[in-house]
Amino acid sequence: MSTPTAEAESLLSIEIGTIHTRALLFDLVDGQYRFLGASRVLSTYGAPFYDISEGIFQALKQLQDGTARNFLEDSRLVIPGRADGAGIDSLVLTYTAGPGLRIAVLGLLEDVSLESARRLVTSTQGVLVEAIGLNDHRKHEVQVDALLKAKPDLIVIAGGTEKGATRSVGKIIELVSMVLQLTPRDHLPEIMYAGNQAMQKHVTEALSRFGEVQVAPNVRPTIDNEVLAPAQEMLAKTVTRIRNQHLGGLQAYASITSAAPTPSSHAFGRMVRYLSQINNPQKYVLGVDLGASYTTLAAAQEGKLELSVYPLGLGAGLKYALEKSDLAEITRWLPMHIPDDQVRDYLWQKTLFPASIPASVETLAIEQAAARQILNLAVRTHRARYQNPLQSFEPVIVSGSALAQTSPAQTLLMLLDGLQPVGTTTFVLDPYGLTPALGAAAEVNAMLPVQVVESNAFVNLGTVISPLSNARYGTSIMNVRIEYESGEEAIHEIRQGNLYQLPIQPGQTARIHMEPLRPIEIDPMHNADTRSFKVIGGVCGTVIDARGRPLALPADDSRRRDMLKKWAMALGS
Amino acid sequence: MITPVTHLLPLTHLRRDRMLPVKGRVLVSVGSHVNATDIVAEADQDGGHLILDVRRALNFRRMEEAHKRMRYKVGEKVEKGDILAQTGGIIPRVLRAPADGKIIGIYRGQIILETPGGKLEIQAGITGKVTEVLPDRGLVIEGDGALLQGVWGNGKIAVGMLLINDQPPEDELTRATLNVNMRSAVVLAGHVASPETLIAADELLVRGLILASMTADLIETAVKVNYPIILMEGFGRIPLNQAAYNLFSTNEKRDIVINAVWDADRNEKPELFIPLPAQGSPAQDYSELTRGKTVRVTVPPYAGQSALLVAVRPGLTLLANGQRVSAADVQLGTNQVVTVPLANLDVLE
Repeated sequence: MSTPTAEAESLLSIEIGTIHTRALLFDLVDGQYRFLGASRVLSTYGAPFYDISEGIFQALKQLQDGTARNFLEDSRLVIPGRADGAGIDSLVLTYTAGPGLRIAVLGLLEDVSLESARRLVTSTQGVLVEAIGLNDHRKHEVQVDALLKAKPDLIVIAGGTEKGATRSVGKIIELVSMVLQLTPRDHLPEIMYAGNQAMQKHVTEALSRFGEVQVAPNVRPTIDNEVLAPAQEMLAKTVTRIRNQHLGGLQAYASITSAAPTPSSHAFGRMVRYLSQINNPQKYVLGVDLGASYTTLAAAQEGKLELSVYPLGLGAGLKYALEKSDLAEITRWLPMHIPDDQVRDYLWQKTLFPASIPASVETLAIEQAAARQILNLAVRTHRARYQNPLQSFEPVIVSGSALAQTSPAQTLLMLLDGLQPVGTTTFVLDPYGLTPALGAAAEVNAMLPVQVVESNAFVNLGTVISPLSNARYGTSIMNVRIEYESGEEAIHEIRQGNLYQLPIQPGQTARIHMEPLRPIEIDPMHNADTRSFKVIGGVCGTVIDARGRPLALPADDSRRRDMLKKWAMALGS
Repeated sequence: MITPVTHLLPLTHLRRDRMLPVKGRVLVSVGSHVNATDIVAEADQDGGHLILDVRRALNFRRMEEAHKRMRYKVGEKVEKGDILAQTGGIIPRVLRAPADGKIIGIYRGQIILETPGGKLEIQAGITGKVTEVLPDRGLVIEGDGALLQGVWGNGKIAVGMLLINDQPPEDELTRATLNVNMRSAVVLAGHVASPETLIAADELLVRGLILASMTADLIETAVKVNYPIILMEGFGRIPLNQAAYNLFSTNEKRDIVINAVWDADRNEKPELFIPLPAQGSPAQDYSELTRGKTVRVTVPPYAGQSALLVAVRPGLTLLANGQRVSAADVQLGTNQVVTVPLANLDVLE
């Protein structure tokens, strides 16, 4: 890893994705950091290359062509940049590529430290292969067997509040020590300890003969207090160390990056956490990255981050989505009749060709239906995992090809159907997938992410107000009066069960006043009774979603399809 | 731009490594000739573990005393009933092995006994010559012949004579259309839509099934049957691409290796290999989408159709569904020229 220089200006971010390798260029323009260009090629960590370098080389060549700048000399990246403009000053690298890590967690109480350990490990791309706590009544030897058979890449140990249990933690360490003793030397997992700090020395002494033990601050310092952030930082570093063995070429690149390579989900979470520190402290900032193999969901409020990575996506991640869903939960979102077997076959075919693009109206509808179900599954799982109702966000930042490659109206509708927020929400699209890159860049250059976020690299889809009412479908529930800056006014009648796109142009500022005709709640999560909002129009204007929560679709197929078409038309999609 | 290649090669030189996931034994040596179904490497799989607390069972006060009274060392094998540890005195108390196994650890006064597990066996997967051996780890096999790659496999390997079902290649294979001539053969057929067909083929003792496509809800059944299945095009009712059909036709009645083991995470494909007595040359595993290439459309519409790449379109092309994508014009077998996203094409060569 090279040391960042104070005068570093240009920054190149490389992302090794499960399908694509992307290169993103940032540099100073008129004294402000700006996103200047991106390139995308197929990743090469698998057959036939088994090395990320070829993909990076191709991505850099494409970026050179697109930006008319030189980054390569004799096929090597020029770093730091030269006075003649060639090369780049700093390089960061994020990755999602590679199979999910096999992770085992051990803790004390099921609902306390073990749960915190679970939340910790689900913040990275992993498969939880074994969980053992004090209430695990399996025989000792059965637990040993289970851990050996699980063949974890990583064992995370939590347990014991500060000044709390030490003997029980000792028993866990004994179990792990026995398992490590029985594991072949060349297959020893990485060990991370994030429990009672009083046991730190004991843990290190007992386990260090099997390899370096990573010690992070306690994830559960008290029964009621969970602190994941420092352990998440440590976990990201540990995951990278493991990935160095899985991804050919990663270690070589690590020696020239300005900060250690980091999992994309971690960098994405870091950026969402930052945004929560500069936003409304009452509301969660939500980040959603819908990828091919994984969906990352990051919710943060006042700097406290809840980060989850799910093996759900619109490529290989469809397998898990199909496993966890009834097909009807996907097909209910189709605005036309497509036989179930065709939908299932198409989605399975997509797992075989995850880079493919829906080329017809029908296949696009199938993918967008699956995207809605994936978003819904992810948010439901997140709510259950963090026991957080997670309904009200400001803003929601979204990325991923499925959301970025379609029309803004279709993207917004997918998000509304999948996430079903209540209250007032601004949806922001990250069309170039910059968020993880900015999260990684923050470690090297603190100003860059701040200035790029404020630039026009992100697209404001629009503000959506989702009032709740018990009124029957079609009943007038309120009037919305729009007061434009010019002094002109317009009034719109809002009926229950409908979507409305208010005529506020992109970038145009207006004040909207809600005049209820029936009892309604605008933001039940915060008991806010504000009836007047200043809004800035997004590319989809400003939207009133009066369809209710949870969103109920008509049971009759024909009526449901008509309703879906009507909603799509309301947003001009 | 790098594009994935699906091999349909009448003659090539194939080099494949076969590696054990854990330390084990390589059963062949450099220069030996192997058949695809030969076991070429094996490793012991973990068995069960029994933890025998000697200190507690024999009532020793100190851990060191328990260790001193143990009769076996780590790595030694024991049989059920063998005395593992024994107290002193005129009437000693003993701790016997509760099962056959191997002592794999002695830890804080406890013996850890591993009972025998299964064997992990690696098959050659292709017919050819062993050209490299990595002791305890694996080997490299090289061979010459025709190579055809599929898109999905059920994880099994077999060898048999290639038989082409006499129905048109786009037709459905059913229980009724299976016939006794298919016994012991690797059968090429069109589409399967019913689990009964797969089960009936198992009862008929086919060696393997090469299908153009299969309905996705048969995956569970397909994984359970005792013979390998490879899908050449994927899920749905997708006809076999003409280039593959032509290559199969020229090799009918020859022995074919059907290797349905693959790893999607590493972009590795299931393969069919027909050993031939001729010298081939290694094929390039990646290509570029350029005019004149033979390509295949991977997803609907036109899924499974091989085509000639007429032109890569400049910039982005607006599709009927509103998406703007990089695309190419391709000429299908019917001479119809259609526009297809580049991402939906792979190169056949």
